[in-house]
Amino acid sequence: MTGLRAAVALALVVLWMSPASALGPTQQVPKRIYSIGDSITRAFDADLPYDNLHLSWVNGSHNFISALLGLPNVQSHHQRIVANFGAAGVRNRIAAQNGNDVFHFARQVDGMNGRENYVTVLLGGNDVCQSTIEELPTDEEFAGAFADGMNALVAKLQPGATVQVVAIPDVKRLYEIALDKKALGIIDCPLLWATTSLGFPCGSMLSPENTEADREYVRQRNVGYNTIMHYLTNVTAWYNPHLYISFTDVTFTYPFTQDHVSNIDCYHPSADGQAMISEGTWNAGFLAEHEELE
Amino acid sequence: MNRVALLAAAVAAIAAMWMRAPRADDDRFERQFGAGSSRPALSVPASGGGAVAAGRVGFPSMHGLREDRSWAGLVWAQIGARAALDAGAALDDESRVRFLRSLSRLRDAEARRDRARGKEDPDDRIEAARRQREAALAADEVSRELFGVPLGVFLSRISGTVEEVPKG
Repeated sequence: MTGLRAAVALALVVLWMSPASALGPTQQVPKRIYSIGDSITRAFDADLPYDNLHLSWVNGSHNFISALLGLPNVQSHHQRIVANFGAAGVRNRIAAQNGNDVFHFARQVDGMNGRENYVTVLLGGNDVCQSTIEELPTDEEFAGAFADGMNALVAKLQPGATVQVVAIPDVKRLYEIALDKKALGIIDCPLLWATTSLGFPCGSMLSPENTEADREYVRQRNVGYNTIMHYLTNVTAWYNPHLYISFTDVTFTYPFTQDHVSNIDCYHPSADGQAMISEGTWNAGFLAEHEELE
Repeated sequence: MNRVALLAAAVAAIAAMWMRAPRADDDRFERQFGAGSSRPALSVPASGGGAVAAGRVGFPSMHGLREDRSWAGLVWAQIGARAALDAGAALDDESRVRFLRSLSRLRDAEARRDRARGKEDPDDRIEAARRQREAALAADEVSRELFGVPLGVFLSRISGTVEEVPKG
């Protein structure tokens, strides 16, 4: 009987430890989270107007108080890390700022203290979203700023840290979804876009004066920026084999629907959209083998 | 009694209140409105400042909140409002009631939106989404006025764990 108890106890210990053992051979247990990004990472207008940090796809949380308040649950990377590796020692930091673009990448890296071991990067939405099409950065400008940011980032990381770079969502598709929302009469999206009172001008895509050809051009730049980030991320990973660096374009390819777009501004991801980004990116990263949340 | 035991007792008492409250609420509802009655619309009493300040919220409003499992949100929102009061944001009873009422309206609208999801009638979904947006904007306006921050930021502060890195 004692032997049976010991076997059961051993099995429980193995089960309890198994998530951590699935890490790469030199990969650090991801406990110190740092998110680089823009308004998407701050869950701007996801549920309530302005920032909803508790609904961020990276940093979001859902605890006892959240449940009591009836707040949505996006099952963020932070929540998944806590579920898989425990809450002890977790630091959950966000450097993302509304309106920031790829030229703010290196500046956001400056806020790191060198102990971070799980970093996400989702920038570029504001490079696609300019007031006018003429203001979109050239590929060379975009690549230079992104490379500077990646170089600054890897210089701050210790061996075994995990980095995930995420593609810019398909801005044209978001525009088309919002038009559908308008078609359903849920909210007057073009009116919101025209007034820009919520502080997110994106004339390069949303301006009523744009032609379909204009929007297709902007979409091609969207694709081009993602290609640049994908390539430079792979190069950075190749030169830094001591780090776990990956890129995913799931945010670009996922077929977003109306429920994934904010009811507040017709443009940013809703709480459902944040949940989808979290799930999609998590399953595309180095921790994909770890337990999926219910 | 040492501190650990005291803390455990307090946690147990809170948990017991949390577990029992919906049942007690249900019984009271059945007595008041009869078995099988449809639940009244969510609302915080218009003249309930004293009761809210004392930690009591009208039962009709709790029925509506309980239906979407967020009735205790009112209590926690009240705790948050109380904390803000203690921190120096001088809320009077009327302000607290306004805040709670705006939160209630939001939760009610969100519950309606969630119930409308999956329905085939697009009119239901349209109306639910529209109400949710209007309620969110109204609740946000009250939060900005009372706490000086958007409602999402306020809720993140009292429920989240994220640390903001200062702007570079």
